[in-house]
Amino acid sequence: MHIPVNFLTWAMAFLPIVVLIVLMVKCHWGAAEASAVGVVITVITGFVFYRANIGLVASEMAKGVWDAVIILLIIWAAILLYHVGDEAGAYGVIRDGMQRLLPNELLQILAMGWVFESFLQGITGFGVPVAVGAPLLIGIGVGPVWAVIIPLICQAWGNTFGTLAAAWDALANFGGLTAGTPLYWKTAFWAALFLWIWDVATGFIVCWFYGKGKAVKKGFAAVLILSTIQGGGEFLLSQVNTTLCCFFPSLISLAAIFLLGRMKTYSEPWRIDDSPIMNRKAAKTETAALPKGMTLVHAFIPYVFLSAVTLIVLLVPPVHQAASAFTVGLSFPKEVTGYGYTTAAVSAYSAFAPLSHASFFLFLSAVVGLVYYKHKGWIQAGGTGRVFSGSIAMTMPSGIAVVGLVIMSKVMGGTGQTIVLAEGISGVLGTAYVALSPFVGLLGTFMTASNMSSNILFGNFQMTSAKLLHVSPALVLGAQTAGASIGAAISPSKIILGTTTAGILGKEGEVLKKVMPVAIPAAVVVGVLSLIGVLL
Amino acid sequence: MSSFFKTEAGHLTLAFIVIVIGACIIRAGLASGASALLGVGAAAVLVALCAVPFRTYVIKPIAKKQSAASNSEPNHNKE
Repeated sequence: MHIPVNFLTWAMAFLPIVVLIVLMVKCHWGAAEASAVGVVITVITGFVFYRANIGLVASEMAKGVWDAVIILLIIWAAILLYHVGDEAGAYGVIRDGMQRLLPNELLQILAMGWVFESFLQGITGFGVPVAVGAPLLIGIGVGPVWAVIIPLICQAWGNTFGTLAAAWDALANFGGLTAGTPLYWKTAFWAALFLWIWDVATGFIVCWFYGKGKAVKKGFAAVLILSTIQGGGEFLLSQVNTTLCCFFPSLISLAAIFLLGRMKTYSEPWRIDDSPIMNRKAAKTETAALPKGMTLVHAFIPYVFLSAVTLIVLLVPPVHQAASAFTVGLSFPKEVTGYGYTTAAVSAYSAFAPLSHASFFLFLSAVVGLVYYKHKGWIQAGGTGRVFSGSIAMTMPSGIAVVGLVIMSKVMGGTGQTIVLAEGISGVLGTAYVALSPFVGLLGTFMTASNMSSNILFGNFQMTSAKLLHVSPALVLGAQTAGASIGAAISPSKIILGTTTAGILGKEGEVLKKVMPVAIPAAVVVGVLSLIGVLL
Repeated sequence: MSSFFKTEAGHLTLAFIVIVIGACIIRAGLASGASALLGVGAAAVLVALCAVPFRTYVIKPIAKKQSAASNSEPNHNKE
């Protein structure tokens, strides 16, 4: 017996997604609240319309919780690393150092709005680049609304392979890509190519915002060089090691911008006096609040450690083998719905190697940073407690949302709702659906504020659609995650993070109005390129 | 520690702990074949998830209304 694909079953499979969108976009609910309702509807439709049994639903729920816990370890460790730097005052030192070393104002904005955000996205992500970037930009005289817009746009390209590729791993996991297979590398190829195009565009967009054509001309060489290092580096490395392919190019671009500052074109003081994005009267000039004796090198100590430990564990084979030897995975029995839709038994579901996992590197780096800054006296008494409680407080809202979304995705997949949804859409739109695939990803991030959550929610659906349409799954999944990455620029939750730290809470609509005309055309370009790729 | 669990983040952390316990009960049910445990575990996960919107959109507005009402009472007395 097969699941009947008719309007009723299709509409019931689509219902949880529609409710999720309406609650978040129309009713302004948070992702944590809306995902709970989505889960309840998915479970009910699973029982009533897809003939699921309690064993299947419970089993998919447990799988979802396990997946979510692994994801949450990364989110928490990344946010812990951010709080260590914040408590020590390292971000103020970074702002001051960049101002001193880069006399060209446009290069300062590119450094603090694009390059440093990309670096933070490579490691931490989850809104941290926006939260950190906005006050840094205000500190050098960028108007508060623009100080939110610039990091929002500029961190987006790194969302898929950033946070040591957490979103990419989610795509691979939920899209059914096995690491190391030709399809895995091909998908990484398309995803990185789309993101490179977006990265080049973001650099020029920032120049345009700063001073239209005059600034684009001045920043042309810098944008080309930096985007070649970032996007081009990510593109090349994505074919070797997806975990590091955003982090290392971002790290190199951070060093490269200081070298650019010594080039003849950028070594002299230069600025556009009537730049529409500047509000120089608000620039911070005081240095009294900065931690005494902390240099740029000190401020980057946890990140230097992170680079070293990640490189050693992932690239030295004996160390990698030893670190990967211990794995934890849960066994699950075979489950069958009343329609005969089967989920195979697994002996070690989502096997996880704690010692070679991104969360372990992030956690170690945070602890090293904490001990080092404390030893130097830059973290005062009570600081350790604030760091840990702050990291938990920042993790939990997105954490509950991740749990809800993963469970929803797993129950939809296990009961057969995902396949019915994909069959319905592909049957109606045919190959033209490929052009829409980045918008599905974009919508996912818009709703959930996370490229990773979008991939969790729609990865399986996109893979199933591609198979049904007999088009390249690599292209469709690449477009999904690229669209989701672009969507990180318009996600309301990320905008709120920026407006909060910029001190302009309530101006989210103004920010969104300026970012939309940038993000939507970018998703259109990815959709058109994907369709061309499929048709050729 | 107890003050943390009275905060917004603390409530979410509690919900998360219940979800993990629910998943452990499901695992125990799958291992032993006891379908009652599957039901209990799934219910625990669902209740913990639903507690988040219930608290935000039902309990909080009621508490807000009550505190607004109690704040306005002394003024009435004065009048």
